[in-house]
Amino acid sequence: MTTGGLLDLRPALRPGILVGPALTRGPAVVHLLKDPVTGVRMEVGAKEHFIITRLDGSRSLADIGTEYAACFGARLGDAQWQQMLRLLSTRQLLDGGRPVTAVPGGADRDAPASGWFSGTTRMVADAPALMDRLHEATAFARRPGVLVPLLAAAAAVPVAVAVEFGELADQTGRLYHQPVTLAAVGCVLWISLGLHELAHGLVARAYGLRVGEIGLRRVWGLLTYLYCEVEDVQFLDRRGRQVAVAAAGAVMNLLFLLPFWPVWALLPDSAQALPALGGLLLLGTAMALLNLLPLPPLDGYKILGYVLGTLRLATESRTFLTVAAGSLRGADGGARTRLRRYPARLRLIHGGFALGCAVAALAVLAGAGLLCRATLPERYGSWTPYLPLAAIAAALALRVLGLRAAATRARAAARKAARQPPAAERPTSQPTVPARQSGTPPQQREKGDMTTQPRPAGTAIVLDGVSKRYGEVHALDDVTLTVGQGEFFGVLGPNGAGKTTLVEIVEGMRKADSGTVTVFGVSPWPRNTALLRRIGVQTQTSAFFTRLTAWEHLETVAALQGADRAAARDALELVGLADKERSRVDDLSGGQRQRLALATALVHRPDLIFLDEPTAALDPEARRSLWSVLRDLRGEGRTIVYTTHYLDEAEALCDRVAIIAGGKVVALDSPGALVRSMAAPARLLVPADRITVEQARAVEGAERVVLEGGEVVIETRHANKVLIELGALVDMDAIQTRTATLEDAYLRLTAATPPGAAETAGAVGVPALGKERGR
Amino acid sequence: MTTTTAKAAGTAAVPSAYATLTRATFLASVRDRTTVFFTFAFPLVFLVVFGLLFRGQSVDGGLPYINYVAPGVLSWGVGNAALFGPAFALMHWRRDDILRLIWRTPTPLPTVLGSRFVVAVVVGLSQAVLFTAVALLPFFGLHLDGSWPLALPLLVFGVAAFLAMGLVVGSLADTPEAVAAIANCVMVPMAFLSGSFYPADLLPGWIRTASWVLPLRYLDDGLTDVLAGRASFGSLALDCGGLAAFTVVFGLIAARIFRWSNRT
Repeated sequence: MTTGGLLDLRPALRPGILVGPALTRGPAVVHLLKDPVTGVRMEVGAKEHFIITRLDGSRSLADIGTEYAACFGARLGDAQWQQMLRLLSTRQLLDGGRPVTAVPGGADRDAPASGWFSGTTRMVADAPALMDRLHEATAFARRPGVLVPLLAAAAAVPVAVAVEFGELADQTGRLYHQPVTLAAVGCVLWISLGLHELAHGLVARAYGLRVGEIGLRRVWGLLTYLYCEVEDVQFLDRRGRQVAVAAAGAVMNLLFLLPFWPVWALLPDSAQALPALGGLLLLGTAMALLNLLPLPPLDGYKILGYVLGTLRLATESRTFLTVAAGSLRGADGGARTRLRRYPARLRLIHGGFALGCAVAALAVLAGAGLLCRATLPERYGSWTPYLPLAAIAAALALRVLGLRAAATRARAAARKAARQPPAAERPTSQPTVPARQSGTPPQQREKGDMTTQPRPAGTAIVLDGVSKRYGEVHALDDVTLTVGQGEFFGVLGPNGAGKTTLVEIVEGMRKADSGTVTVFGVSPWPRNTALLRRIGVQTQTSAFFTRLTAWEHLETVAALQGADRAAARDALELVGLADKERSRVDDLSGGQRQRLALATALVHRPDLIFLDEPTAALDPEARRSLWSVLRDLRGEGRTIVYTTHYLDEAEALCDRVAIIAGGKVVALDSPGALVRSMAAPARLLVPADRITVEQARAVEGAERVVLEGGEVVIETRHANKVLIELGALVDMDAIQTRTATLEDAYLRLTAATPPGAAETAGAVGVPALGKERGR
Repeated sequence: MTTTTAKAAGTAAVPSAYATLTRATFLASVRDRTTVFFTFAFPLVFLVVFGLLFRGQSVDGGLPYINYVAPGVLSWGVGNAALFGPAFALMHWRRDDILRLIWRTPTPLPTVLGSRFVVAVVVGLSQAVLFTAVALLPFFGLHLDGSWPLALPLLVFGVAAFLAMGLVVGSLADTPEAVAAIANCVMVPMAFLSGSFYPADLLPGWIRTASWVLPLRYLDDGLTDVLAGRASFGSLALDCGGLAAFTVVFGLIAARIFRWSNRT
């Protein structure tokens, strides 16, 4: 029964996933896969690729299985299918209707630490936008009428340099006696290298690729050069285009020399600038051509890889050599079988590359030896040609010593760590339970027991007909609402709905265009310091004093607020950051920063607290512990105004919720009343391998049945009845129930706002966090 | 009795906003290793370069070359640090919403600026001490006149003037790149026109006259006179007065263009 259900599935790959052409990595055929949303790249084999490319939502797994069997001569079993689907769904590759969350460290890879001497500096804030502008500005050069002559001219430069080589070499030689001029030539060539990188980016952009970053890279304080990161070249559908992207840099280097050629040719023989120009032409051409050598990390290596369709050719060639050597020795039977996996073409490629590298290395060594003999004075004697060899030997010896030392240090550190008693290891990444947590576990405390507590009389905030516009945009449009003292008030709305403006008007940072605002009975505008003392605001961007530790920051804020150190200490412990007090604010994780921002808002014990998405970057556990902090604050009689995107949170915490869209309050009520007013159906989720859609449709009371991301979703207004019926078909443990949530109400209300606002509402992806009640 | 002690304990426990801010500013400055390096090492590098280039030469003004180069490079270094530091900090504080945070507290803006000024003065004085100590080495051969304490008010006024300029730059610029660009556009031509790297007496007459519209010229002139021991009360007052006037002018401009937030 379960088998039938699984093979009837028709999953689809998420739109936009990039699937690259077949490449070889060593003996294996692989395809590159990239998720443009998360930035995650992965390699898959030919068989996985076969399946993935057929997941279009129209074919069932049974169809694909038949095709697979016809192609590979083997059938896929249930377990294999399940494994495959699980892999795809954990990698977020299936079109499941759920928004994709960026994997931390996926899109923005862990950059190596940037120091004084090594590292990178980003130069352009928005590199793609800059490339777009350059792309438009260089549109003229992409016409064949311009491009062909340009390429011909670039090709002519090395020819001309070869013809005039004698004279140019002579002038370059003279250049070495003029260090200042040589430095100037170096600067010009450095600019040429910068253009080289931009050329890569421009050609890539012309083929529709994205340029990730433009910046300066420093290497050991010796070299600083511009780089331009081009992404996804391997996903271009034609190898010619891949090659064009890689070769663009060298072409640009040659084109850069073009204007200098006529000047050099026209200058009289006595001109002082001749060595500079001659040197520039010769060195510039040499630079361009050397870059085309097929050695990593040069452009020529990339071109070779694209032409041959190989990945990591250098590494794989080394592996191939080891395998081939092992096979030749004949001692190892495994090596021979491994060698057999390489087809003749790949043997040729890897063997040829290894040979080429060896020849190139010998040539470089010989060249360097000759150069040493030619340039170093006589008194160094006859051993000058062996100087490079000696240098390499010394470098290798140093490297071996360094590696040994590092290994010794690592062993010593490991021994030291082993000696430490385990009790000393304090969990630091785990969010600690807040100090003020009361005895009841947070999960069991419902807000019901809070609403029954006596609430202080009076109002905290009164807005009456408040409007605010920025130019043509109505940030707030006739907003009227009242927040009672001691109330936990939620403000929901898509980005740009006017939430921030609302908060800024209430704290007195902005003046309303019309309408009246009173906070604790007084007007917040103009800046009212007496009132501000009673207000705590958590900012969206987490404003911290740079280069201070968490504790120093809070201490400073406390002093600014006129509060004492004990208040700072309390706030730090309240949010559970006491174990991080010595960490610099810049080193805190997203969740820790959120908690520090909360502590910053609470440090002067305000009566009215504005919280802006305080749990946005927290893991579920930390969220729960923060909830209990917030409930305690409310229990102390503080008024809390809470903006959030997590609707389950608003539902769990808030007494009342205002939903704002397009600057208007579109709904204002308790979460429960809002949900009830929607009368939305409940959703029952059953794993798709347990039940078929047809079976589910047959259940009495099921109103709508759909397949979503490997699960059959049954919508019903008679959840109990349907559950009982389902229980006869499948194990009850497998069924998930999702009742109508605030999210449903929210989505319906924000979608039904006026046209101008609907645009904003629709554009925002609301995290789909259903409230799961039992499994 | 009990209330008094409680009160006393309470007031003792509340550190002043001014002291805490000064400490925060100081820590933030010291922990920025790159800036510390440039603040202290750059003037020394310039001293070495110009000292090597012109060692042993003497100029029309009658003083050895080092007596022109040392005060010039020092005034440039002090001015540079006093301009860049606050400009970057102001830009960052506005961009990261720290200014908004301060806006919400009862602490007035002058307290914030005051703490910034104290840190800038301390940095400037430390620069001066280190720099002078190196210049006094026999290799450079600077001779310090006994009236050197007169340099202190000059440095304080100079830091104030460049701090005010830094506030203007920090209010204009919204990104670190813009701060660096604007500040360099201001400082580099000013250094050359004020004769920081070579004796101002070598400049063409009209440039020498025109350079009195630049604050660096006053600081440079004052320091040169003090170190050479030829400062009179009148000339010193003139230099300090000029720097104070620049402080007022740039302070007013900064107050005019000051923004609490990038979002308006």
